[in-house]
Amino acid sequence: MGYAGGTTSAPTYRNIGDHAETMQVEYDPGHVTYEELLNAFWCSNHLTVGTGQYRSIIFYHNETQKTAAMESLAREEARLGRKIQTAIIPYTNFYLAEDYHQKYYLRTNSILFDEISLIYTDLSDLLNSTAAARLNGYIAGFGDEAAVQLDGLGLSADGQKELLQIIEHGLETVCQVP
Amino acid sequence: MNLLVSRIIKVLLLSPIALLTACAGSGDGTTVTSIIPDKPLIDEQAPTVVETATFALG
Repeated sequence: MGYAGGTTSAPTYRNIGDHAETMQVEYDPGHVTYEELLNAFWCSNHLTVGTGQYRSIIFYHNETQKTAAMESLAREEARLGRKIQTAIIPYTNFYLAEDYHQKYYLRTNSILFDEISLIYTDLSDLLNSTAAARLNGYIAGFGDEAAVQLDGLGLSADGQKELLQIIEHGLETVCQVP
Repeated sequence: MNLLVSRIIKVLLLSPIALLTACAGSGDGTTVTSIIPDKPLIDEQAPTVVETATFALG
């Protein structure tokens, strides 16, 4: 999580300047496509006319992403029958938000957060951890229950038990735009 | 074993790396292989080539 799309340097939550609250994802294109991420974006997007730090933006990193983003926007507008106020602009900078904004849901579970923090004592390592990202999603209630790799997340027996209790409450898969 | 415990207490004031180094061998035949848990398997198998996507959800 962080800030992007503005001109001021070193934005913070309290001094965000003209930036927008932004999420950045590193993904394996062999497992998930950019188009699938765009679908998740439209599904998660509030589609209201957000302004300031809450405006809606797709930052493209290359021409392929730009084309895919433009096409997906057109499809979504056609599906909704109205214009969408989402900007599609070139990526320039991304400023990481404060520590307490990172892996927000994971931080709410002290058992799992403490276990993963023992493995990754450096925050940048934690942010690059797929296991931490998945735990964050599971705690937030998202994920594919059938695909949870309990043994691959680096958890102790107690940690696995805690995660099982979370999963037993049910997970939602990422929504798909029809 | 007491020597090992003593060494661990001392290096707890230092860094985790120092802790691991100190625990590499206890000298009394006790083997301490690791204090810091292993890296998760999912992360060991993480792809080295990734792409980046950036969104502001609104």
